[in-house]
Amino acid sequence: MAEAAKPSGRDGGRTLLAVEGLQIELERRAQPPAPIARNVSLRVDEGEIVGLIGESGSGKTVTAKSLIGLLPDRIRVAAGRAMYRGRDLFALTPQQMRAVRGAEISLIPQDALHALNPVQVIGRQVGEPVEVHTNRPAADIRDLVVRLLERVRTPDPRARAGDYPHQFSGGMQQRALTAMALSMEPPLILADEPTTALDVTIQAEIIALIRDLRAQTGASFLFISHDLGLVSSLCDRIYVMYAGEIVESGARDGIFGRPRHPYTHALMGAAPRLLGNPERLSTIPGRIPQPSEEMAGCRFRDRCPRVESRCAAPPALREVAEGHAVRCWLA
Amino acid sequence: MLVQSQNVRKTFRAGRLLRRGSGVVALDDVSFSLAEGESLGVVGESGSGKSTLLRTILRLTPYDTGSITFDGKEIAAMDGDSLRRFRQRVQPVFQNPYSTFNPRFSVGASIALGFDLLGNVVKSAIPGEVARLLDDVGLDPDLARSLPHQLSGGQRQRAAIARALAVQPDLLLLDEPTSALDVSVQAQVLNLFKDLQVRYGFSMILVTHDLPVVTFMCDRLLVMKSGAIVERGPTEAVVRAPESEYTRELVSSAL
Repeated sequence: MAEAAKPSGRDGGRTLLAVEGLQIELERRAQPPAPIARNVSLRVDEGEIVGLIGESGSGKTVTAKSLIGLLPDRIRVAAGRAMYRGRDLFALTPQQMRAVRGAEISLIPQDALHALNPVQVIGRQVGEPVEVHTNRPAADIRDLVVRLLERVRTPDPRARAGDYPHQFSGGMQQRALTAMALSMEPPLILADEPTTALDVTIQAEIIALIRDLRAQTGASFLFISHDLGLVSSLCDRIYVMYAGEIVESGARDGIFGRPRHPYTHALMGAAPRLLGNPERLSTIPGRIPQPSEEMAGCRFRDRCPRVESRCAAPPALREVAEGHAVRCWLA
Repeated sequence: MLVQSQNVRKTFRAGRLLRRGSGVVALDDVSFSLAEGESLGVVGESGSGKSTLLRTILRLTPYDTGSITFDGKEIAAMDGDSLRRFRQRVQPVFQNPYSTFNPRFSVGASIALGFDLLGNVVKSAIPGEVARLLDDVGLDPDLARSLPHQLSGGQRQRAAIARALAVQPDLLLLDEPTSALDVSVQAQVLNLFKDLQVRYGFSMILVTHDLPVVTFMCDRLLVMKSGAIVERGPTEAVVRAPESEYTRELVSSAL
């Protein structure tokens, strides 16, 4: 089965990360393990900003966390490869993974306040990856931290480096975490809803920062979000996840200009627009199945406005236009 | 006018914990009015004063000068019966309803408190009324027996709406009511507010940083920055031709 989607990326970009057939399972007591990411394949090219969108529980965060060995207890990679610069990330020993995490691939987590240590000053935390991965002298690291905080537009960075997390606003905390993720200038940054908790104007700043970084350092991003507007303005290519599966992938213009999967289509209709809203927003009947829920056939079938008899068989992800793949019989 | 705010000012004094400045002006000469059945949107970023404004209208935060009237009566002067009546007629719905439910009470018991308070329904009829409200907000009445943590985010927000409606309010104050919800669930909840408004006839003040949510929900819009109203008008007109620099910024970041 031709499951691996191979949408073409930005011209000439070499593949930096290629995930193939990733299966993530939740171990359960007295029950077989429950799959929460199902045969996920995705690719990030060098210098590319790739969006991974989907609603809560679609499996997008767990997919990202699996790449740097940060899956919670009882959740494990059951199958698949994640090739990064010639190495399979899933085959690394914990020690090898520690060398990759933060230096090669870093994560900007959701929920900034819980990601920061409340009893350690911001500057120390921002500098920690450099402290762990290099032998640079402490004074050097302190200077670097100030430059990093400056780069994420923290006002008065030298003084603020000595603040504790609770003295930072939510937006400042998120910027500090971004600075931390950048500290080693990693080639790949996994950004997990980095702006969800932020005001729109600060959100716009973080987005501008990500664009700048890509331009300056050539870094690649896997940008996880449920905010379609944000993803449409930032990402080169997009993967849409639903109930543990990639249901559509393609270049931004293809996905937003002509969404082919009924779920992608429904998501776009559900978001209010700035102008020209209908009297009622279109909604998707029913609820998202748990990723672990087994269903015969297409996993969107029960909620799909266009369901047909053939949807009783599971559709494969197949290419419908160049670089545009859809998991739907009707596409 | 249901609500009338005139030249309301609120300054938070700097305590020892605040390191700089001598006080924060949270509301700076805020005047607006809200007619019955109207939906007013308030947008602005954190620190713009929009949540303080909600709290002053709820009479949770006293204001320093100016006046806020509800149904013609000054809210600062209310006490005893008039205050109880006010607390029933004005109901908030917050971003995170989980923290507003008693985690040890079933959802049904939390909603039933409203009927107890109002005393307008005989005890034996309360379970039926709770079931009707849950049905009105699109929840399975069987969920009345669930504890708050057993509901999904969207279900919990619907339950919070049912609880607010139990006391037949005239005004709902909504503080980022859908910010924590997924887009498909947000669509259901926003449609629900509109449907319920037609059925129950309440007015709404909706505070959010999400401009498209306001343009979908509200007839009129206030834009706040640093405690002051920097722009106001019919929602669509403001969005089409924003006059203040700040509103322009908000509009362009929402595009």
